[in-house]
Amino acid sequence: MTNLQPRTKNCITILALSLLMACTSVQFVAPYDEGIYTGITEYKELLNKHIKDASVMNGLQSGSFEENQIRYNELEVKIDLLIDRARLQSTGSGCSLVPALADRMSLHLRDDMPADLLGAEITEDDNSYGCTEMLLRNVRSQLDQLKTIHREIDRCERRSPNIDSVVFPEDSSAANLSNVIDEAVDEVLGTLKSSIKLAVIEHIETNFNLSGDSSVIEGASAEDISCLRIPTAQLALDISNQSINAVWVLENAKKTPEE
Amino acid sequence: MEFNKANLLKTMKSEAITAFGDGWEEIKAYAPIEFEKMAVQLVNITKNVALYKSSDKKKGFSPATGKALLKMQRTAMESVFIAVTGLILLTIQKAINAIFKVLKDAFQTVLKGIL
Repeated sequence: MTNLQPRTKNCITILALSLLMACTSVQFVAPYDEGIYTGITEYKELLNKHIKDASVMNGLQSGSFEENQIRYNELEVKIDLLIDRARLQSTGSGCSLVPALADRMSLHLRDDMPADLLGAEITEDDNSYGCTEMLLRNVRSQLDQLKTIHREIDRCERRSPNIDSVVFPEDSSAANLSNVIDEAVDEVLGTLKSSIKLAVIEHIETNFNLSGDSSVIEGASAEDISCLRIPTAQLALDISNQSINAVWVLENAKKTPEE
Repeated sequence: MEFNKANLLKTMKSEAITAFGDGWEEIKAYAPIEFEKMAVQLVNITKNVALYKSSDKKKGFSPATGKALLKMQRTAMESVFIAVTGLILLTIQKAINAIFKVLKDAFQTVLKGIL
């Protein structure tokens, strides 16, 4: 270009500028999406409620993983839908750091640095997740980790539910007994601890003719049950919310004054 | 405004400072708070594992739970980095778009014929 006449140079500059300006706006990050914002808000609400409920009910059958599996399914479906939505809107430019920042981060994290963040070696669009999609995938990954803790790791000693909440029917006929077994035995008798006064057990046995099932009570009291212990729940909540809030922060930053 | 290199540069610089200013303030406010939260949470994980051992498993949580929570914390840390990355990209995006908008407005008359 050094051999070109000044007039030719100006023409080229103007042409390049006009080409750039004629293009649509530059877009590295997918635009703000109300659906993702409200979706992640609803997810946060559901997850927070689930974790708090499960920790309050730790040691009870109702706080066990088995009793809460449906809630995990609901949460998984919700977050998977949001990931799909984010993927569809991805600009295809990924979520790569500027080289200088990537170098500094990789220096500290070494091999643990996520490949997508480095931006190098990305040759296929499939690996080029947008920032929002990557954040949502992390939220999903944390849900999996929480599920594993609840199902396989955390154990609580079985405890009895609030005895005041147990309703003892007046009529102890055989017809009522099957209902009681269906509706209450697993929830109440299955979680009674051996420390409950003998009088209470006798009362139940007399009224519901369950003397032959006393082994259920003893067996239940001796074993642990899957749960979310209170400190586990508190920390899992704080940590999960950090990832969810990261989605919030980014989505909020995308908002234009009109939005 | 006359369409020349000096004026172009002046317009671009002033717009970049404005556009980056807001973005950087956002990043500066977000990242340190999240790092502080992480530090508190990491300390709490180790405290609860110790408590579990000293209380005959009555309090705190097991080392296995601690390990799983650490994994979750690692993911959260990654999320904070991704969010910061996203904010940087967004700031760059906003700055570039703002610069071009200003250039377009400022030099409309010169460029009108070729746009």
